[in-house]
Amino acid sequence: MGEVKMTDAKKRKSASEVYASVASPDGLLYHVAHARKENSDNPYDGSQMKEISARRRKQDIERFRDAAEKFKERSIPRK
Amino acid sequence: MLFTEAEIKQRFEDIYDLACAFCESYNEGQEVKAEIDPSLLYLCVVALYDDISRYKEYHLTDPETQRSNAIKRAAYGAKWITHFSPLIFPPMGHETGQHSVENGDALANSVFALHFALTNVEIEAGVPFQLSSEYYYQLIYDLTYRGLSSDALILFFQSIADLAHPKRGKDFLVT
Repeated sequence: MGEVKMTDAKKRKSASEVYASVASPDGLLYHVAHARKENSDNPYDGSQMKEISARRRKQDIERFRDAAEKFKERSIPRK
Repeated sequence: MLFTEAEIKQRFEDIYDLACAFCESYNEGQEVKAEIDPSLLYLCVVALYDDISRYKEYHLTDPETQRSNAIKRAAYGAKWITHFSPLIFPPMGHETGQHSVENGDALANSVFALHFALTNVEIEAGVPFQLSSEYYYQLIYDLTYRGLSSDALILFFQSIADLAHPKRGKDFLVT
């Protein structure tokens, strides 16, 4: 297995640049702009969502690594 | 009232940032690195908000006081992330890649779907919580290999949020 380098985060396009590259109406199957808004009594807070994700993602991944072991333990061998 | 272009752009950018950060954590110590396919992630966002729109429009007589937006994001996010699989492993391609069995990871998108869902469930619950590894195993198995309907996911994630909620939780189970 050769060396595989991780994408350099400094070279990664910004979210805004990426959105511009994928959200062209004539370049995709369809577009979301016709969707109605969700409930107005639950205001959207993207910063809160990202903060919670940042706090819990390592724990979630650790739990997954434990769970992945269970897949190996519980797989039924093919005979 | 419809989403504006600026609102959808913001939603996409938030999920994109979240997904890139998830990949960085997921890739720590891994030989083959996951990254995001922006087009597939965009399709997830489109489908997620289309589903929320349909749910509000057709499924409830009083949607304003019923399921929260966070629970719907959790359920429809899990549904479409597992469907479109926006996490990809570029070095794993069968012609140009360096595939090896020990690096194969069919579960990565289910893990990301579950992380996105639980992040939103935590918004609804109002307190940090973790599920046991056993529940992670069962949920990832179901998301990857079984079929959970959107309505089942909404009910399931709402139940977790209610059980974790400091005030609602104590009244939720009757023994």
